[in-house]
Amino acid sequence: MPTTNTDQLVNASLKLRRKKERRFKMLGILAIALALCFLVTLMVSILSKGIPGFFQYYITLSVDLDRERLDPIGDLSDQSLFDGQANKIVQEAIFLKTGATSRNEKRAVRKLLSNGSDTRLISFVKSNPKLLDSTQKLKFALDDDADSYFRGFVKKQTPEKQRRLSDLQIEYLDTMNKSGLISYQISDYLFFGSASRNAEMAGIKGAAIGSLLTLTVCFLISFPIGVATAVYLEEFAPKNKFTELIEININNLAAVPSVVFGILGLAMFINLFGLPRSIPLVGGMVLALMTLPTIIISSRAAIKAVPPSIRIGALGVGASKVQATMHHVVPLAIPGMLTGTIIGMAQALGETAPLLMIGMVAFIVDVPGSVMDPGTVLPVQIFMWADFAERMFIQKTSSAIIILLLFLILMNGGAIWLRKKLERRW
Amino acid sequence: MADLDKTIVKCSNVSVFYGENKAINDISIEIERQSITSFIGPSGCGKSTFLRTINRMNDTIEGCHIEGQVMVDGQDIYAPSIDVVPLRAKVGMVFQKPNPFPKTIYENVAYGPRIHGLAKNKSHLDEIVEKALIGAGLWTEVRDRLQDTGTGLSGGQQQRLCIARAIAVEPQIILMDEPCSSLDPIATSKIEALMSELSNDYTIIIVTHSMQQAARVSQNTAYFHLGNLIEYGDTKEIFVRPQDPQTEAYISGKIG
Amino acid sequence: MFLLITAATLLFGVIFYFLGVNKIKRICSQDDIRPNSLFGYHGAYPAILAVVPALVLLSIWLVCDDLIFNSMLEARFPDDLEVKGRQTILILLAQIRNISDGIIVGQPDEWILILSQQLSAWRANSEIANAIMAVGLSVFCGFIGISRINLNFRARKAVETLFLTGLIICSLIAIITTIGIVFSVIFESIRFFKLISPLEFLTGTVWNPEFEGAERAGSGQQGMSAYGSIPLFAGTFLISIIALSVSVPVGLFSAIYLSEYASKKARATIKPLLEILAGVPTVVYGFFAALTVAPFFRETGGLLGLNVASESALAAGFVMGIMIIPFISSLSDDVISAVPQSLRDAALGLGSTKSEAIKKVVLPAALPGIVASIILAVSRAVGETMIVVMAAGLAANLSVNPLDAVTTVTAQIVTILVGDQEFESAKTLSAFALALTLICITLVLNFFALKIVKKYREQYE
Repeated sequence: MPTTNTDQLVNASLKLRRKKERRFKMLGILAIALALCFLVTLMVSILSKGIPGFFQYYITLSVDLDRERLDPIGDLSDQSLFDGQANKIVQEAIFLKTGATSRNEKRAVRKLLSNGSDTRLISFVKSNPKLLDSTQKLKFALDDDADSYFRGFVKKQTPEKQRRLSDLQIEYLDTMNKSGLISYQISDYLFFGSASRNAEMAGIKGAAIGSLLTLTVCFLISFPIGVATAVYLEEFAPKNKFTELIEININNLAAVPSVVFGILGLAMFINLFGLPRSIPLVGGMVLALMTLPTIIISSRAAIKAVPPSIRIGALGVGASKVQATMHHVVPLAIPGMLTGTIIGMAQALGETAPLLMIGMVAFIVDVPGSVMDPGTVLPVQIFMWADFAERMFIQKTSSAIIILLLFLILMNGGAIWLRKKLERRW
Repeated sequence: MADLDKTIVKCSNVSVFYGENKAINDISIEIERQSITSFIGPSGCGKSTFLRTINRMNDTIEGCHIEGQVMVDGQDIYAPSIDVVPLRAKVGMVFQKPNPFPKTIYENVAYGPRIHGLAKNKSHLDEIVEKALIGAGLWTEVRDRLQDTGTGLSGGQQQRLCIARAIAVEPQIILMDEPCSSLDPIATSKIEALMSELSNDYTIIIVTHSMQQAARVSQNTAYFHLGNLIEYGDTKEIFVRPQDPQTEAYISGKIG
Repeated sequence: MFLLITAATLLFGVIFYFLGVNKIKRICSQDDIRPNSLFGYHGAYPAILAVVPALVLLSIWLVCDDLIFNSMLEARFPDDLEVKGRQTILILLAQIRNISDGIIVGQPDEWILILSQQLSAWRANSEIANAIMAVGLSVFCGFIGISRINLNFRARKAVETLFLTGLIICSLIAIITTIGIVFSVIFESIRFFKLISPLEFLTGTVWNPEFEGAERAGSGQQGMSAYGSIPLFAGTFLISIIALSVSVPVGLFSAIYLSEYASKKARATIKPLLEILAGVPTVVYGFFAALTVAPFFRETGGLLGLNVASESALAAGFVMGIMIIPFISSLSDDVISAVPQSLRDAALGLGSTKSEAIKKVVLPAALPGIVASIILAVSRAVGETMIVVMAAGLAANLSVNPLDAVTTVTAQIVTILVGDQEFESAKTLSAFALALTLICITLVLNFFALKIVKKYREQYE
């Protein structure tokens, strides 16, 4: 067949154009690969640091639970146990196992054990009073320097002056390890311990409960108000300036940086209303204001998705607008509203900056018992731990991050599952 | 040899599937060079789908695949070695709803020649644009406002702009998929007049749901029904003496 | 006490509900006709009236009485008391309150003890008065509700009106929040600008906030405070630019590939994975930036002979960019998909390659939306806090070198307010001024993004 001049020109252009096409496609794939690469790097970094953080090294010691020494007053009260010699008893046990006799040796050995060992012994005695006056094998956490040795962070090769453990201490650790006294197991401190300056005792229990209380307050405030606003704006609000004003405000609030909500909490709730700092109630209130726009917007979408035929049907049988909305439209929109709310809650769970503003940075050891007790939340705990340079803290911080991410996955996954399960095809 | 010259598009046993769904059933047809052929039939019978197989626009639809052979100008266009880019330069298309780019009138027409590298320099490109706009019967109306946006024109003008855009790359065949269905009668008649002029240089295949239009403009007519080619022949013959009873039923308005 | 009264109020609500229903039933059986609303509504009306006003009174009283007591206490402070600013007064008030709660630390002065006793007395009285008022209001309103019940009373309408009023009040919360933010920030900012001129704040190039009378370490002289915010904005700007230079190419090209080239399956798998980047809490990114990325950049820089700070803007900006990728890719994906298929068909029908159609037709058509998404991403970057606090340091350097350590507006706000606060000194107040500028910038950015999106939508409607 004859090739026209145009045909020839077109064919001549093909090679370059095909090359450009390939390059363009490659750029797209490269971009996606890079993004996924970042994600994987982030995950690997967190996991590689965090998974060891779930474990700790413990030492098993035979402890002589001498009643008179542990409970001098004899009534197992906190005061009595505090006055007792729990600390000494634990130390004697480890002196025995290591054969430390001189003052220097004893001092070296003492440092290998966690500072919280006496507390552990005391709580064991309190829960098992019947075992007093017997000898029991108990596990105690190693101090974080000793722990770091077994993880390989403190090396023998480093000159002694630059190490955190002396040669003598390392000798003792090796001896005890050879005797099978050292075990590596899931750290109960991580889950049940509270904030502590000692890495081996630090745990997330306080922060987790604080997060739970704060989120509950946030939900209880933001869900009803958010849903009410969405229902009003979608179903009842007339198209006037006032409604426009509300909508503009909601959109603005969605754009405001989270720190500003913290400032609002500080200036209004704490300074003006006089509420105490660092309590889940104030934290929940601040987060509720932050999450409101999200809930309102997603609830409005859920309501909009309900077809008009439902409303018309209800009105047609004589229901009032309020009845049609509350009896028919809103129940059908609830799944969508819940999905949006759960996602909003997940975002609130990860928020740090606004809670820093209302004072949740304090070092709080007690677990908050109510929304009015001082507490902290998981992301703030992570933030505070991130400052500590000990290796073990880095690992525990990563473990706390893993726990936080697991919660987020659960919540987001739950929201998606809910949406899929309750999805209706109109 | 003479036959080969006369036929520009030859379809043999072409079937088109959307996934599992068979939309076009085993159609064989030969389109005459530099003629106007119209595809008629009730809505949803596959006319547009079949039209789009000729310039492989169905490739853009996911799950759409084809069986059979389509020869354009002696080339099997579905052969694996074929590049669709020059094919679509050779077989242009005008769509049902005018779809000018949100660019200037000039840029709309210049788009095709630019990407294919048809112009040696700017003045050559200007010539191509002018020639295309003249060929589409739009030049006199827009010569002074080539820098206005294409979307600012009236419906009929926009469609002629799309025609100008198509002929700017000097195709051999122009496919028109119900080009007048969204236009008013005056714009329609303008485009119909344009078509007979264009058929001097191009082969035109037009899908239309208006029998009257087919009768007015085309030399050959093909009647489609439910994905099958029922009858194909000289337009006058089809309309005055249809051979197939189905054709007769459609033309007399018994089915639609 | 609060809980007790709340429970009592709710109980009254239930009682009035049944009273209302009974009344209407009685009326109806007397005259043997049906009312215009269901019985339930006649019960709900007095119930709502019994519960809501009382609870509102209870809450407001609880919040306000402490405020009132504080001013009453202050009025009774001894005249010769040495007051070093508001902070002293607040501390004294807190001490008095603690003693009243039973927490006594050390040996407080006589007058403090006396005032604490008075406070305890006031509090006790207030609690009783509150309880009585709440209960009284509850019963009073309940009876008003009951008295309105008769055959002509449109109970359903009344209840629905109350309901709608409730909805409207909830909707007002959004406005109240905005007003709250505006006031708390502006109020303190004005106090700041009384101490430091706005000109110095906006144009000064040294940022060194110190408390009044604080000494520079070791020098024995009073530190010179400076409140020039330019270094902070420069830092914010620098880090945002770095973040954008990561997120825009990656996000945009990902969006293009996903919407134009990827198969349905690939798109369904990859899109959620990218969304994960948006779901990771910023504190995690901050940790990652500080512990992994920053050292990596520093060491790599060292190998290349560059001097990279350990808290470089590069590290913070890079990680922020990663966080922002989904913003750009998601929004751009939406706008690209929204470009009508007819335009693509027209371009392909003329013989374009796919990339030509995208580059010359689809992207120009989608450009307003893409620009809007970039502006929104900038707004996000500017307001980001945790990543910069953890990875970018607090040195108010005025620098455009990404390898240096800089600080941002948000990092300073956090540093200043998460520490000792003295609401009299310029240092604490400066945080509010910074917050004010931050709010203005983000609102302006979002306004423009919205405007562009609106204009763009008009094109296709």
